[in-house]
Amino acid sequence: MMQTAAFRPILADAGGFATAETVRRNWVRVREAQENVFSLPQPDVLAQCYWYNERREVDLAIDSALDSFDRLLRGGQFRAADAVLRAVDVNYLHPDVSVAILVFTRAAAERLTNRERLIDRLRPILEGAEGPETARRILEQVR
Amino acid sequence: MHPAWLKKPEVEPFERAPFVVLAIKRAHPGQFHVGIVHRSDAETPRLLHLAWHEDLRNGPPSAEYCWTRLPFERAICRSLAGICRKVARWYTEGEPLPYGFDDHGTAFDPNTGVVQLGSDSSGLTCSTFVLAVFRSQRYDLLRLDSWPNREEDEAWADQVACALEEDGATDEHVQRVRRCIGKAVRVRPEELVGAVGLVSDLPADFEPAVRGAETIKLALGR
Repeated sequence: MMQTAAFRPILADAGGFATAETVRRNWVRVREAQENVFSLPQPDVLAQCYWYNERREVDLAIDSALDSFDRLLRGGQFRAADAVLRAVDVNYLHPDVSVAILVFTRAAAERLTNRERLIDRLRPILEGAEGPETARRILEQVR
Repeated sequence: MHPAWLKKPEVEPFERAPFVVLAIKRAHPGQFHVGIVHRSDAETPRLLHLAWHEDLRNGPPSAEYCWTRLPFERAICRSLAGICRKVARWYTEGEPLPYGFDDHGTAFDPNTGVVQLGSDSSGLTCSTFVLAVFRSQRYDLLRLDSWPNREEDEAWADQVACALEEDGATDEHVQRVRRCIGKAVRVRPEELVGAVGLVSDLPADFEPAVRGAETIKLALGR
């Protein structure tokens, strides 16, 4: 339903010759529509990562998280990636996996508003696991 | 004379090293080679290094290599090891990685692991490959604007271009490499490892890198 509504203006434009401006405008609309669709909570994006985490395969969970964010960020799905960051369960994931998620999203930090909130949520977990001084250094190095 | 920051694998084996370290060996007289040793809990350590043109390798490190720590926390190193695995998967199973000189605009796409050559780049050396891997996650190891362009490096670059030609690299690639000579500064492997070994607050400047490089030459031979 959301897709239909979002794409309607594009179809309305399709009656005449496509000017460069029309093509550009339509492309922007397509990207916005994609962003809207993918900015919904994405509970399954990290499913494999959580599965490996459950099995205590921390490095495989890290690789899986990297692949997941790779797909989202490569496709320009920053809002979706941000939604995934919001849903990261720091209490459940191994702290190294949560840190890895912050490392993998470092290059896109300006476009991911929930990243800073993830840092705040992770801080007490890291302080408990690594001690306050190491936690401070880790979080400094992911900024 | 072996500095404390340059570890010998027979004393401190790669299996007990952090998840990611830099490794260096003396390849020929006057020529060193650098790579990244990365490991996971389940796998034995791997040396990821650009051996030559379109020849990225990811195999067990030999005992010739000494290693140095990066000034990153353990959890960060573990994440960076994940990046190394991704780059290794992409380039050892897929796209070939060109050897050449870089204007330092080159980095691996942080999302895909695919190298993005800068506008005036022709490829990477073993040193700039290492720099590009870390730069992909915005970890700059060196302050490259402090690196000078040295006359002897141009002679070295010319030798590289000739060797590429002899080894059958395409004319187009060799021409691109030649266009970079004199423009792209050279980061010598011993300077990269020396800087990382000596400086805890990266990115490192040229001056401490040279001091570190001299120490490495004393330890491993010139």
